[in-house]
Amino acid sequence: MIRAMTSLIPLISLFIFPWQVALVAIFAASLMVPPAGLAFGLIADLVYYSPGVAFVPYFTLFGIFSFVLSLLVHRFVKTRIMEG
Amino acid sequence: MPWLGPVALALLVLVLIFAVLRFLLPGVLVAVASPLWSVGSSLSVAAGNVGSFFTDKAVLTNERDRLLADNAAYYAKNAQLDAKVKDLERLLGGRTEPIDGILAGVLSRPPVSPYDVLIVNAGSNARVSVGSRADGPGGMPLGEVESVTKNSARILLYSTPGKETESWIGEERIPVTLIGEGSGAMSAVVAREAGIAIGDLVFASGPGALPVGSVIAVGNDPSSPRSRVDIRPLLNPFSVTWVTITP
Repeated sequence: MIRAMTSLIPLISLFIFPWQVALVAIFAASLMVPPAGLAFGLIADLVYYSPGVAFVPYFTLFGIFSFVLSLLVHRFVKTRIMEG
Repeated sequence: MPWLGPVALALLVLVLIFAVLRFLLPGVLVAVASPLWSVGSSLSVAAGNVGSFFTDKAVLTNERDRLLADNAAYYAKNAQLDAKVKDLERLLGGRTEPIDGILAGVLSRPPVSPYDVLIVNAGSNARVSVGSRADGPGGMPLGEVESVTKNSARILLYSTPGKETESWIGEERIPVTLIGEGSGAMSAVVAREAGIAIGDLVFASGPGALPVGSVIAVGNDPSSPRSRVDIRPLLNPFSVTWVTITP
């Protein structure tokens, strides 16, 4: 539950903090909840993107990147006790 | 991860809500987001002053910031008047009538807003229409209205990445195409023989000579017949709090 609530921080940061901070928050949320990166990337472009402002919606692209990367991390990196 | 399914579903619903708001109810989206943008603006101001909060220089800092903002506005206004006088002296200036503008407060600006987009609190109810020009303090053009709802409008700054704007540059009013580079920056490509120098003003094309920026760097590649010119806006879009929209 805490993880899910924490993943909502990017939603607030999209409206309050500079977009660079929002990007970091989106990436951090994505590492915890992989779909969050994609969702908040889409939401950022739904709020701010307008036709003609860029060739591609950068936040959506970043969201896809975060989503894929975090999926890979969750797939291949597992916590374990290190053995000496 | 048993929680992943419900969380993903909740995120999907959230995205759908924003999609509906953006495409079907854009006015509601701005109304909902306005309080958050206000908080963001307040935080930006507070963050700007945090260094001077614990010292007795806070008053001086505020005064200096106000004077810098006034100076930028007066500089823009002075450049505009100077250009107008020169045009009249050369008998090239046109007769222009004063036009009433619509004053609009800025709800969201860079850097909170990516893509160099301003969202303002005046819309079609205030006679704002798509394509209208938005001017900052001092009458300096900032950009054009891209879309309008009843009570809000989106303004694309001239520095919006990839946005092309016809303009003039330098004393000789050489026509160039301004290209937005993001974060307030612009660029253009001119012939090397044009004689563009650092400090030359860039003007929005149209009636009058309204300055939008100044040249801060001129490329000097001897192998190319053209030079890239880097342009900085006269008014910092990160600190603009209101605009005048000319219908």
